[in-house]
Amino acid sequence: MKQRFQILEPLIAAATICVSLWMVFFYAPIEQQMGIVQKIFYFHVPAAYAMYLSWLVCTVSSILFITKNDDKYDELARSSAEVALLFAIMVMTTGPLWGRKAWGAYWVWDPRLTSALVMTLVVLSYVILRQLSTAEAIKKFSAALSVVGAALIPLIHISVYKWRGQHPAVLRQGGLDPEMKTTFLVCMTAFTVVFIVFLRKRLSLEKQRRRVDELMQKKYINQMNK
Amino acid sequence: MCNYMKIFYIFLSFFLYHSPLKAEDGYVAVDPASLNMVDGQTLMIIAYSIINGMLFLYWGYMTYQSRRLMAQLVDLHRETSNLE
Repeated sequence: MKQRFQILEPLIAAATICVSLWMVFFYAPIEQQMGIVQKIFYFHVPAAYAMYLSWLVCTVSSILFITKNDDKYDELARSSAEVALLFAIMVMTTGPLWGRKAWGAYWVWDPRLTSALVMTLVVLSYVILRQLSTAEAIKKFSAALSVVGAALIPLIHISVYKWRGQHPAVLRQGGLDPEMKTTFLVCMTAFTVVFIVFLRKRLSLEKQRRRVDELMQKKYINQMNK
Repeated sequence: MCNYMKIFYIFLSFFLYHSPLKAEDGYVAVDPASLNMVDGQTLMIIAYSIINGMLFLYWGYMTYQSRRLMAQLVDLHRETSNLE
């Protein structure tokens, strides 16, 4: 049963992405002012939301790791940070493509763009740090880094209202056409499914890696005893 | 390495020859004004290609790592049980 679900998981994720792609290209109307480039929004915003979600999971599990000192929370934090990096790169590449048409430039030093860039760099540094070493001190240090990085999430969110940058506030009430809203919600669901599937897969990799390390130790001890 | 560079050069030449960067006299000219010709549809296609490509590649990477670790686990299981 469990094995069957493991095969089904990526298929469900792929199906939700296909449905959302169909809705983006064939169901959602073309926006009057910006034209077809506005359709980037349907994947750009869910990718940003998935990045926040991944980083929140990373932060919560990091706090649990610090308080309970259990390696399973550290594995969850490491896995979700890598998934967060994937979504962060998506946000940082699709945003400028939209900006090229909307603002006439790939990049402007807008408060939201800048804070999102800082967050991406924090996520990147976390992932690099974890790749460099498996030492206990690095685990604790990166857990603290993820907690500090989580402070950027509300900052990115309020930056549009607080500092009046060029980035549009996308989730204002009544701002979307009903067909656009449906498409947007389907895309949000698709990215949530993708996030769950990716996180589970990445976590299973961590478990496999831990098992390999355990067996390596066992093999080493056996060889020493001989 | 040299062959890769040749392939890249052929690809780049082909791209530039068929791109709007080509001047009327046949020479490839990078005109800053022509760079502004990137339309919304192209940008949207690039964005969706990047996102779907990244999802696909990351899944492929995880599947590859999983299979590699599984093979390693099988070998280690065999070795440790033999030692015992």
